[in-house]
Amino acid sequence: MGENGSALLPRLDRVAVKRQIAGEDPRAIVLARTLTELGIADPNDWQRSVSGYVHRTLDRWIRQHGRDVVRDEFSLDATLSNTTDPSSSEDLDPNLLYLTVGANAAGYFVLGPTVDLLKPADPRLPVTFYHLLVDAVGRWVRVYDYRDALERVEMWKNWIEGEANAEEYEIPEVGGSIPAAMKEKPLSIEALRRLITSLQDERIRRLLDAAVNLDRISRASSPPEISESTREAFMDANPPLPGLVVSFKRQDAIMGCFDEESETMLEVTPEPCFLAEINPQDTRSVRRAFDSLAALSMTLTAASRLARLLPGNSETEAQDEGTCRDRGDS
Amino acid sequence: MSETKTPSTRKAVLAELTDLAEGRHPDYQTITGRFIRDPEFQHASEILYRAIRAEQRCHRSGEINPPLGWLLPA
Repeated sequence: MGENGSALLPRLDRVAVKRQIAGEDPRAIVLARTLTELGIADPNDWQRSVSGYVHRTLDRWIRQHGRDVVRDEFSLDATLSNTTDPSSSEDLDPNLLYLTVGANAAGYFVLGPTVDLLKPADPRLPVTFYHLLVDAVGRWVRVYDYRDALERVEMWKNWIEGEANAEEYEIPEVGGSIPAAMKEKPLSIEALRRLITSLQDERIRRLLDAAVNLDRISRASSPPEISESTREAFMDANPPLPGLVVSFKRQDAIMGCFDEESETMLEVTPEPCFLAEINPQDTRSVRRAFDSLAALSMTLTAASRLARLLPGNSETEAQDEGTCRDRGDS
Repeated sequence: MSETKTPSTRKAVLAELTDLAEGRHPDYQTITGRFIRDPEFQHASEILYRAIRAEQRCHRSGEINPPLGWLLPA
């Protein structure tokens, strides 16, 4: 109050209108320092914000390891956080940060035309190629394929078993969507390499070389080990969202099972596709996590490049083939 | 990466990050900076805030007249 009952208003003309200090997580500060020491972070990205610096480093790292090619076929998000649960901000461990990758949507490979292309060269080639591709990608992100669809069908059959109107249920005929060639025994990698050198068809050789290359890149390192305490956080979680769906024909029974199953995939928070624990003070821990992320990116880059070689995989190609078939029929 | 490209920038960034990690950064020397970093400071401020709120509530309460016919306390 001023004198004689008058009111005084404080003057604000010398006070900064806006004052901003970011309360950075101490782990993020240490991580930023470790990333700079390791040469993973580029000091030119420093704009006096630790979280911004770490974010730009992560973005740059993914870009350096094939982000733009990966985006052609996959839709994934990488996150660096103090928790593995996107709906929570509570620390899982006060000393750790978590690098996670989750799928926003699943990529889609149609392998039927490839099976038809490879089979004449060797009856065991389609199944060999299939497992090289699917297992290489599946080592890093979840792949939904005919095996998941068969499991789903088995579950439906168990549910309706004993019901009076069991025959009224329409269960997709997944078995009919799997080419007979998939029952063959895959060739060993050595036998495949020998076979490739003897093949005359350049298109098949390029496909197989790309699959062998994808397998090599995928196996060059392993996904990070996860501690028991972090694993416990996922006890009630759903399986990871698939980063890739593989079927043999567009919209076949396998895809039908995936569409049905995908409706419940988000009922409970899913596990991430990829998870690396980071102790920001430990250079080996930080290096391992970022190297693993690089391996994942490079595997998906190789898979995206292979996808470009798959006959009938792109939608436009499939439409063209459909048009050709129509012309042939008329 | 730029490790060899900009050694001075790298050194400066590392020094600034070390200052931040150890609480020696100029931003943390202000009262707001100390508040952000210090959980005890935050806790003490919260206690003070609650105490002021409680005090304000006490002073805001007015006397309520008893219903007609009620005896006033002796």
